[in-house]
Amino acid sequence: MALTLYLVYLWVPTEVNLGISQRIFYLHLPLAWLGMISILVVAVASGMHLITRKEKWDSMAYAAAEIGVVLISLLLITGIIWNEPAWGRWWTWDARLTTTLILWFIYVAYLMLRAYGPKGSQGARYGAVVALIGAIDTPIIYMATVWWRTQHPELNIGPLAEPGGLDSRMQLTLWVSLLTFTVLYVYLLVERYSLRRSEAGLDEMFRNAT
Amino acid sequence: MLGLFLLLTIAVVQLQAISVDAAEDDTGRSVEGEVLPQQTADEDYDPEANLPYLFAVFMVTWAGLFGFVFVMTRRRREMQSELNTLRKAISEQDKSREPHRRGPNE
Repeated sequence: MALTLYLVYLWVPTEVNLGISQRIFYLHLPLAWLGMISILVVAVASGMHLITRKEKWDSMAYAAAEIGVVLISLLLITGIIWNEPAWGRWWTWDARLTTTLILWFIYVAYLMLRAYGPKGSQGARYGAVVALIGAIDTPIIYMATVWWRTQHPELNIGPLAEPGGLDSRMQLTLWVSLLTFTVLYVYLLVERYSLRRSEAGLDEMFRNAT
Repeated sequence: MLGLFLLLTIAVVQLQAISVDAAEDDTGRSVEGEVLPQQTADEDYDPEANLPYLFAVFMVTWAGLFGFVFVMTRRRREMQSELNTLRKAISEQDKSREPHRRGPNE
């Protein structure tokens, strides 16, 4: 993490058009990447839960959804802050921004359903269905800059990204930042998953004791 | 402790970043010695004009991530206290059953 901070704030050259605000990119893009990864984890775990009915898959989906909502919230906030110096306005109903906001609403709805909806296996099944429907938005977000004319910059990572779009030092900083945030994400996911499993086990013990 | 260390590191890095950018502005050259096109074309161009936005993004991101870790830690602590309550309840239940178990043997 210290290396990433060094690269982002001291080593990487300042971009000529956006100036120092372009360094937001090295935080914004990992948040977007991990937000999408998180939603994919939710979708896969929810699918597995519907097939196998095992509680561990539901716990994994819940943990990934919670972290996903945190990451997508940060993604939207950092995007809004960056919009002002880059585009001259805080928010615009651009295709990528709008589809990301829709994804955020879907996963907030998922967490609310799990918190206030039916408990036990029924709630888990409802949640899994909502998560799978919400995951359809993920490829739409990724392809938004290809399918529609948007203000948002084109793809920087993934199979459709054009190679050589960034300076080599900027690319290296981006990859180091992505790696660092991915490690942090895995740590948070493992911690939240184990906590969720413990919570479920404790609830069961309480039910048996009373 | 780790959080404090990270915050200190962040503060130092931020201060260094500001001083390096200020040095760039004075000379009109980047660290690598390349003249920035906007600086030569437009005298008013200031690459660090958007520093508050960068600082805001930095603060929001880390506050969000640390906030999440804090909430997780609090939940773990609450769970630990629930576990202790449950252990106590089970041991009290066992104690109250003890005389009944011994009864027929005595």
